[in-house]
Order: sequence, then C-alpha cells, then structure tokens
Amino acid sequence: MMRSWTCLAATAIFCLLSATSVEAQQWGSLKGRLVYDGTPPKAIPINVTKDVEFCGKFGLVDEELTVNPENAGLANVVIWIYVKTGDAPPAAHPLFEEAKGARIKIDNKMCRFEPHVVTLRAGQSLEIHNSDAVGHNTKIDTFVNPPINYTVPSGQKIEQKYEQAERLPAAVSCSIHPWMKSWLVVQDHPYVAVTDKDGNFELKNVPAGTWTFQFWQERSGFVDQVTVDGQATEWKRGRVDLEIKAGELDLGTIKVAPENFTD
Amino acid sequence: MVMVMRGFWANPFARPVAAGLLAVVALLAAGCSSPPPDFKLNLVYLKAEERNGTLTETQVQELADALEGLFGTPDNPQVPQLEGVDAVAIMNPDYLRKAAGAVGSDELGRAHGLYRKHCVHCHGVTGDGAGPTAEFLNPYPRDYRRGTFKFKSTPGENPPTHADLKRVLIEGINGTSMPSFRLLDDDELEALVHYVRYLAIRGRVERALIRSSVSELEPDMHLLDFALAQTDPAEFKSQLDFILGEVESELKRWENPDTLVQPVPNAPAGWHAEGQEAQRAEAAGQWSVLTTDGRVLVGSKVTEADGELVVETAGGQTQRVAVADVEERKPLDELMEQYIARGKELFSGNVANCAQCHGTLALGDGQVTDYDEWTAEWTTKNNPPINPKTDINRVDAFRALGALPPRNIRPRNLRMGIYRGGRRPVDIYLRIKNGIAGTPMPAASSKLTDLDVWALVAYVRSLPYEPISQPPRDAAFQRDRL
Repeated sequence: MMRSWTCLAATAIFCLLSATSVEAQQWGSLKGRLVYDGTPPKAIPINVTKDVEFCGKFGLVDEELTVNPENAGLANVVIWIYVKTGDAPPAAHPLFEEAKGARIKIDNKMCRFEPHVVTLRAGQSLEIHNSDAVGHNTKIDTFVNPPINYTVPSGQKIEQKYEQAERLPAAVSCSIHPWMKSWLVVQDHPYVAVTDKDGNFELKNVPAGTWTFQFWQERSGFVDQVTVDGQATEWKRGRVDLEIKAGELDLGTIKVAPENFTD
Repeated sequence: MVMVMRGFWANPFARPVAAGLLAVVALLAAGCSSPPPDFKLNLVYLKAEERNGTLTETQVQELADALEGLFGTPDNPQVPQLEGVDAVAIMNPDYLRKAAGAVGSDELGRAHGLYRKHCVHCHGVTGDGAGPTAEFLNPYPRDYRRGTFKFKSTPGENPPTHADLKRVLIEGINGTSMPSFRLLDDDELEALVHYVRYLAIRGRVERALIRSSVSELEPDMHLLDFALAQTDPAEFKSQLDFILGEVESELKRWENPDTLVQPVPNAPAGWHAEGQEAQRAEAAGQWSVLTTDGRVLVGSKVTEADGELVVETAGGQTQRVAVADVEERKPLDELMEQYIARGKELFSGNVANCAQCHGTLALGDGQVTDYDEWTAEWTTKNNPPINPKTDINRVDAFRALGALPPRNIRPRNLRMGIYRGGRRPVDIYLRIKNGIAGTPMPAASSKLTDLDVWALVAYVRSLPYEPISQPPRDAAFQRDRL
C-alpha cells in the first residue's frame, strides 16, 4: 500500500509547471473506504405523511446518516479536491472532456431522490426527472448559482445548468414530501467522489501533485475526526493534503468517529 | 460581543469624502445622550454555518470592520465603489442619505431619516426584520438580508425590479401588517426603495463573506488584516480583492433585474378581470367564437354573411372568420366557466400539483408543517436539522442571538380572497408561473401552457365566490339578529 501524507512544496511547483505541458502530465488515483467507528446506528423509518398510498409502500428510511449494518461502511460521504479561492483548479484529464457539457440525472423515484448525492462539474446541467406516479417539486438551495424551485410533474423532466462552482454541497428538497432531501455538489473540476453503500470511494485520473482533499457528510458537515492507520487524527475542516503520483494511492480503511455526527 | 471600530481612518474602501464631518453632523442630530445605532452582525447565520467552520473573535471583528468599511453605518451609509459596476444606479447615495439617519427635516422641510420614521419599528435598523414589534406580528416583517423578496416579477431568487419594490411600498401587503405608503411623495418612496436594496445587498455581502470565511479561514488567518497594508501589501491586496470580489458578484445581480422579467402573455380572449359575479354581468349578451386553429373571437353581436361570421364588439370593431373555420360559437360566460373548470381540474392534478399543499378544497390545509427559508436555514435545513417543535435547547441558542420563534408557513387559504402579492390577475399569474421565492411555493412546470396558468388564475379567483367559501346564510342571519 503506497501512502504519503506529507505535502512537498517541490512537488506542488512541479505540478504547476507540468500542467502546462500535457505530455509530461502524469495521472494517479486515490481510493479508500470510510467506516463508522462504532455500532452502526439503525436506519430510522420515515413517517410518510403525504401521498401515503404511493410513497408509503417503499419502506423509506432517513438517509441523513447511512451506515451499512453489515460492514459499517459509511455511505454518501463526499470527497473533492479543495481549491483555495484564486487558485487554479486541477487540470482535467482528457477523458473528462467528453462529459464537459453533459446532462447529469437526478430522479424523483420512489419518493426519494436518486442519487442521494449528485455531483456536477461547473458547466454541466442537471436533469431533474420524476419517475413517480405522484407530482414532486425540486428545490435546490445553491448559494452561488441561482437557487431554483420547480414543480416536476409525474413522468416529466426539467433541466437546469450550473455555471459556477459551489463552495459547499447545496440542499435539494421537495416541499410536497418534506422527508425528501438530497445534495448537489458543483465543483469546477471533475474530481468529486461519493462513497458507496460499503463506504468505498475512488477518484480517478487525478493530475500528479499534491492536492488538498476535502471530506464532507451531510450530518457532520466536514468530516474532521478520523482514525487513519490506527492513529486518531483531526482533519481540520475535513481537509487532508495528499500527494498523488502515477498509479494508485490507497488510503485503506478510515474510521470516522461517531462524534462527527452528534448535535 | 463585537464592537464595530469607529474612526476608521485607514479604511481602504472609503473615497476621500468628508466622512468625518458627516459623522459629526450625524452625532449632533442624534443627540449626545444615546450612542448612534449600529448595524448588527448576522449572528444567526454565523451560528447556522458553524458546521462548516467557526471564526475567531479577531476574524469576526474583521468581518464587522470590512462591512463598515464597505457600507458605512446606519447614520452614514456608503456605497462601495467598484470598477465595471454602476453601484450608484443601484444604491444612490443621495437617496440613501435621505432614507438613513435620524428622523428630521432640513430647512426646506424635506424629510430625512425616512427609514427610521416609517420602517425601523418592524424591519429593524439592520433590516433584519427583527424590530421591536416583529415578534408580535404574523407574518413576521421581512428580513432583507437574504435579498429574497416574494412579490415580484422576476423568476426564482432573482432580485426584484425597481417597480416591484415600489409597488409593495405603494400597495402595502394585503393580509399582513405591511401598510401602504401611498401618501409619501415619489422622492421619498424612491429613497426607501434604494435603501431597502442597500440593506439587502449589505446583508447578502455579509452572508457571502461569512459563508466563505467559515470554510476558508484557519484560526491564524485573516479576512482583512490592516497591519499587512504596510508589511505585506501584496497579501493585503489579495485579501481586499477577495472581499471586493464578493461585493462585485452581488452588485452584478442587481444591475438590471428588468431584463429577467418574462413577459406575461395576455389573458385569453373572453377572460374577465373580476370575480364570477362581475364576469356574469359583463358577459351578459356577449358571444365567443372559437376557431379550429384555436383563436377566440369575442363580441356583443355575431352575424353571418357570405360564408363568414362577423363578430362585432360593442365599440364597433369587427373581426371575420370563415364559417368553415368555426369550431364553436357560444355565450361568453360559458367560456369563462370552461376556463374555471379547466383550472379546477389542473388544481388537483399532478402536473400543477396545487392541491398537495393548498388542500383539495384550497383551504390552505394540505401542507402545514413546513417553514419558510428564513427559518428553515437555521432549523430544518441546519446540519444536523433542528426540529423547532422538539429541539428546544438548540432553538433557544439561536433565539438568544436574535432569531424569532419559528413558525410554520401556511399555504394560502385561497377561499379568503386575500392575496398578499396583489389581487390583479397578472399578480396571481406571476405567483403561479414563477413561484414565490423564500417559500415552498414552486414555479409552475413548463408542461403547464400559458392558457393552463390563466385557467388556474381564473379558478383561484373564482374560489372566494363559491358557495362553500361564504358563511352559511342562517349563521349570518343570526349575527344580524344579535
């Protein structure tokens, strides 16, 4: 397992220089697995108060803190490369070129949003679908981009373009069904990952160099109290500097302290 | 508590105006017994953002200083000057001075201190909607600092137009404590519109700076460190540029809201402006002719000549249509009934989705547990969410910082005939089409045609005239007897 936690100024400079010459650019990936460091909390069923005959049949649960009961995997943690205001975002690998202006889908499906965290690169559009038999509305409280609130009739879709990066994930909600909540992430680079149901994440084709990676979860905000390699660590504002080299950097299992999620 | 620094000689935002002199005048006007009022920091928002990071006392002080440097004080408002944005057109300093400061008038009898005379009791010195009366009003007075305005012609969260703000001042807001200020002269209304924009822009810049500071600044970092002006001018400039960048993007939003207004298509032919009874009276003896290509011709007289229908209005204007192209010909109030029926159908359907919140009978009882954005952002949309009904301790922590007790936002009871944003058909059209910013009311789906929206307007406006909206006759009779 290759691991490097130190930030090397020389590498950063190298990276800035190399960003201009494409041939010299090397790409690496970052992966890891986030687990809940305690007894996994039980999923809390949602009290369906609207469209009960339709929404009541899906066994909906609160997704604010989703821990896999089998392996303690922590889902829906968002990981992105943090770019300080005024700094240039990391160069995008040519493979991302095709998806530059793509439409990314979020669906009102079975009275919840799918996916729970949707990630966009600035310039991409969000396509908001409604696959349900009932009407929904989708309200997105972005801070930099214009906030929206549209009704989305059954079987229909609407489209909204996101031109600018958002510093933090924006809440997506439905006023008709108050339990429906999800998150929209907009960054001006493609390096954003969301942990899956087992807590795994991977950022591929990251330009070599030292980057600040930021970890965020909806209930905790920034994930700052973690145990890495058996060592309790504080990631201030959920940030950690890592050096990406050609090949794969595997952070292994990162234990996330339950204290991150308390009131 | 944070003190705002006075006598801010090194202010990098200020132009070399006679700021000192103005301050002296303001002090004299305010009298020497009480300190001049200050803008309060948005501590509620600062706390709501805590999950994303906290600021040190020094950083909070720097935030207060930066805001004062940019916008001045309640007695001496200033307009940040930036290249490329005409800030003066958005917030005219002459108007701001007229609206700001202590209540009084000059030697020509021209009033100043208008905001403190007319608005401050409810909306507060800072425009935080938390003046002394606020807690006793329902709905609460508007907190301008989100820059969110409900009753306007621009879609979404876009700023209102100048005319939108002025209209609210002139008309007041029906069904709320907001009165009409129709009796103020035009110059005074203009001054207040500029001042409300100033408070909104100031509030939004404050929010943007809080939002970026909490997630960006480490404890040893500065938002704006004046010591650097001497020791490290380059770093100082980058701090300043960052702040001015936030100001610029905010000002740009307000540059020309008029361009964002979507024209409202004309109401369909045969569509009456007033309630059902008036519709019937107006429609008596009128005819509508529907053509196969979807046109509707309306007139008081319809005659047939040479294979054509001639539709003549009371004013003597005529329109002709070939008999072959006529789909239907009928009395006008029947047409209006059709619009209303179509609106009723849409109201409960899952394209417009009105009944979900307004209730099947439109009594505003479909969704009564939600909160408006001003409340939601520190309660239900906080991380982790606060349930205002049960998380009393956490609510109290915000209350201590100036938040008003959370109240549910109720969808409008459409049978009351009270329309906060105005009762004109175009007002209701805009509410349905654009939604209402800051509330759960969404914008209409694009699957609703213009005609559909007008049909909904017709239905909504007919609701107070429906029998179930009226008190039972014998109950009214009993009241009379008593």
